[in-house]
Amino acid sequence: MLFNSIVYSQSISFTGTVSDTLNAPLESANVIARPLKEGVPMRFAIADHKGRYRLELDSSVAYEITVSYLGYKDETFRYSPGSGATSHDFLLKPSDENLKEVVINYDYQPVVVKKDTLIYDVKSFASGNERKMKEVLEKLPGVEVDKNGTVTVQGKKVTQMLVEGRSFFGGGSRLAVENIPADALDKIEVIDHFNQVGFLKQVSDSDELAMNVKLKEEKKKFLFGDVEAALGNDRYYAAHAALFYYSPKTTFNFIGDNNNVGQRTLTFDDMMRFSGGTSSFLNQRKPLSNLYAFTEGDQEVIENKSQFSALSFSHRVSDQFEITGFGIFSKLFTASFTESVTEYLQNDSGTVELRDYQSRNSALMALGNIKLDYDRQKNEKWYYNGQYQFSDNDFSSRLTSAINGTATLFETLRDAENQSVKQYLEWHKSYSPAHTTTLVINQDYTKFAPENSWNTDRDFLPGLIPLQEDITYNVNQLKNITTNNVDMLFRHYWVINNLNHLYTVAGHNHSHATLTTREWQQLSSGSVNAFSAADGFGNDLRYTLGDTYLGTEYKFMTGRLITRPGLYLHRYRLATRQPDGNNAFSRVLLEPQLNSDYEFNKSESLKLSYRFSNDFADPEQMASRYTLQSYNSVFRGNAILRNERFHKVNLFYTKFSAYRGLSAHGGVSFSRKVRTIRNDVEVVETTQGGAILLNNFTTPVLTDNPETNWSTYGSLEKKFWYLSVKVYSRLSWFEYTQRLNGVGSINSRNSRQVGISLRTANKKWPYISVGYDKTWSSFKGITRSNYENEVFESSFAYEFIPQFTFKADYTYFNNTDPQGQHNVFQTGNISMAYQKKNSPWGFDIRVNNFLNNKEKTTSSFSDFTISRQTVHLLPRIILCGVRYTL
Amino acid sequence: MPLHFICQITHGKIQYTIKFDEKEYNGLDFYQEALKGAPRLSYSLDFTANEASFYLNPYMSTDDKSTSLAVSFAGVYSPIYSDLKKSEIRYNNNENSLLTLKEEFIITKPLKMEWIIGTESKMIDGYLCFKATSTYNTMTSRGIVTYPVVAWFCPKIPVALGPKGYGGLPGLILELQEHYIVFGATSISLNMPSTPVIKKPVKGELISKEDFDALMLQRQKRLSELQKK
Repeated sequence: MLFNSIVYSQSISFTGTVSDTLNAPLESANVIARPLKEGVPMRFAIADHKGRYRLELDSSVAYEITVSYLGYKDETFRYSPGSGATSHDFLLKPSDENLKEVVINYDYQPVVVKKDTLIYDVKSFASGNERKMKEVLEKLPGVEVDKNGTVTVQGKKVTQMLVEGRSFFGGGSRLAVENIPADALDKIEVIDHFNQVGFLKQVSDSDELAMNVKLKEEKKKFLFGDVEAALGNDRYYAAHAALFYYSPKTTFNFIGDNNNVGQRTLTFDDMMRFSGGTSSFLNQRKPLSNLYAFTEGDQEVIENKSQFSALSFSHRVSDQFEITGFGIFSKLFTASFTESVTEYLQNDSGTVELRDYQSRNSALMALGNIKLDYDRQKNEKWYYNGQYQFSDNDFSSRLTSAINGTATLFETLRDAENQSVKQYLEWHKSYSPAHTTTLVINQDYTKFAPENSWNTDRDFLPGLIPLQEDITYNVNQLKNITTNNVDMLFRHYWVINNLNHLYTVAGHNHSHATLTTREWQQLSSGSVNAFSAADGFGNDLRYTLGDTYLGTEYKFMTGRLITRPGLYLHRYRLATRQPDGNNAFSRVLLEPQLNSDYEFNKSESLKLSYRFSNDFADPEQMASRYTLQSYNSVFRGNAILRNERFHKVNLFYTKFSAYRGLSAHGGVSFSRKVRTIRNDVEVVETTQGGAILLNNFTTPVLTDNPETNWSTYGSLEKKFWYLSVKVYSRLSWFEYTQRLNGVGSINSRNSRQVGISLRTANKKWPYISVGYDKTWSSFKGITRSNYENEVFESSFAYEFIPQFTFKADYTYFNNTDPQGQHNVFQTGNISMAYQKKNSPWGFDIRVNNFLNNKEKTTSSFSDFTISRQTVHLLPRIILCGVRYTL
Repeated sequence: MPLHFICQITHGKIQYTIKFDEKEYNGLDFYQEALKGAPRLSYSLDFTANEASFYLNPYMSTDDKSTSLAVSFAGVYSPIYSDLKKSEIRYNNNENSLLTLKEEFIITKPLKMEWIIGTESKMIDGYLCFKATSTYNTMTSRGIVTYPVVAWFCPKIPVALGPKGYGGLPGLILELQEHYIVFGATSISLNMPSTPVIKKPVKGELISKEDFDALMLQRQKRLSELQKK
């Protein structure tokens, strides 16, 4: 074997054999000749099957020739150039090393590798007239930026964009490239992360490029953003501003929106940024607030006026400690108009009620959220998140209800004030790679205080509420529900070895609630007729639910199967204190669970999970006095409700092949409640002054009637050529026992859904997507009923002339109601936008609901009714808008 | 201890641990997670008279993503098989790539390497090791890229093999650093009662590393065309 070494002209061959004391040859023994002179390379030789070796030595240098072999003592021979020696045989004597298993204890440390960094000095390439970073990048040799803000350097994509060594507003390169002012740039570094592996499932054997932007000392703070304003017909308008402030330690992001066209106030990117970005993906923590609602518009109303402002900030106190937070203030006014036809299923003929419902709602919301992230040491992390939310909803509605021709008018006013404080604290520590502990404390305080007022010209709920005769009837209700939950969890994770992990969990969840209701009739004379305890009204409930638990889960791997059985022991205690009496019961219950994962390979797996759990009634279900729910329904809770028990099984399959462009998912879920809390309903028909009213009276009851729920879901998505096709299907079946007017019947609700969608997947083509979805729903009980929904959706986007983008979408919706009637609804939106390259100005025209479709009809089932609703929508709105980018 | 059976080392199994350079992808969350997962991984080098195989030992992922991320960064997905007779290394392509199907290719490259042995030496737990350096080449869209490989081999252990298919040095490679990842030997078992079964790639079209790199470049170009605007 030859090694890279320079062979001098004057070299001699030195040979010999290597054997042990029994003269057996030691094949593969390594012979090393170390020169005793500087600058001369070492020489190596390996003994062959007969123990022979051959070294090429520099004839003028002295060497120390050593032979070493595991299990034997090293032997050294001193070679001197003048000695004339040309060979030596080594005889190795055994040592007393244990050869069965050699263990090596050594702290291996990687040596820091210098990376290839390409540094562009901006001033050498920029002219000084550029506005934003994008224009400067385009002037750097080998650098290109595309429409979406993706940067490539010599054809290789930049996968990580950093500013001053940190990620920029948690986002990708687009925000940075399109907004950082050109005059703030000092140097652009391109760092090559040569990697045999492209992580994040990208290209194999590729390199990752990171771009780090270095800012000028005096320009490390800057402001950017954009402002849009649009005006339309009939006094419709929309205005939106997104402003960002950047400095190396502190950043701010402000979003303001004011519109009356039902458009969404936050984009999905905005919401991700407020919720913490990618780091929250790694942490799997549930956010305290769900901002998703702000990313959806609401056009199923006849009037919508929204004023919204949000501010988020982040401040890096030190390398280990970061504070982020946001505040949202929103004022939303909506007016809606719905017509519905409801069929009550208490007998074969079924009684039908026609309703006309108009409502107006003013909602005021203020929300403040703060997060602290502290990496105390490398292996210890603290995380705190606190949120305060206040909302005030002012709601009024007019309801006209008609049965068999005669109508009754109800007006409802509701003023609800809610306050909530939520906090989450997590402490996480790794003692060693094998032991980790986590402590989580969760606290949630909510106060919900609605005031309802019902107004009508006839008396209602006769016999059920103690009304006094009057010209008009006005009943008021004050409700106050305050809950405080504190959950504590301590968890220890032990990695016993590669294939066995053990978790131990101990925790306590405590829930405390108070609920009070008070109803009274405001007589037109001015005096008050209070519904008293004697009438069965007036709740005053104190509710406590405590759950102390201890559990263990053991995760182990056999072949490709990972199994994780778990057993939890819970001690539950539910106590209620009410004027009619106190109740308490406690139970020690075992809740087993099982999770199994079978990994066919890295991209295909099958998961199974099983749980047996207990659920307890909430305060409203246990308040034992009457509570008025609406003009035609009264509810009474049940003070002796115990826990529901149910089995839940899920099977889930997933397959993903990046190269084939294939993604498949499928799943089956099954749940069976063996002890259920279900509402017992009594529907009473009364006649008052010629008008027929249907009143319902509901009480939750614990039964042994099982409830079974099956559902399956499957979807397949594949890329063909330049198209992406998706096919999916969903089936569900729900069977339960409903008691209606004392008669129990087994009801089942089924639905079947299939859908297919296609979209173009080539950026050079216009974006076209079409989809079709059909759902069949059926109800079987004392009566039978079906309805169908069919939806066809399409959308289109194309930049047909440079800088002009045209977008359109169209939806066709066909609902076949239980009576067999077809209700067709079509809607569409069109927009045209013009954005001049590298200019701060942009213009657009939008037409929402260009078909001017005013109504949408859908059908639904409930425990004992089937109904069809028609909701009225915002009309056609044409908006002309202007956009300016700072 | 009977000595006569030590004469020939016919088969063995070496365990390796893995460590990443902390400063490599500074600021990247995924990499920080991978750093946490690296200590839980271990690799095996099994060898017999004519074959050797280097592979990731079965592992169970933890609840967080750290272990699987560490596996991704380490880059050894399927066994790297050394055919000592044919003087060739064979391994399957990465099954999660956007450019290849699972087990589409068996990539081959010559076993022989150019090593430069200097004079540096160090002790690894009482075993004298010498330093050898080489380079790893890969073809990218910007031409051939090379990065350094540093191996510490121990002549006392007469097994001319090492992690990731590296070998051919006069002694077992106890420590190998390829770019920002270091593999370190933690235990050596020789001439055990049972001979290990050598894992090797079975399915796939044989292709040389050079041809494979060129093909990947072609496929990558085609993919970028689709994504470009």
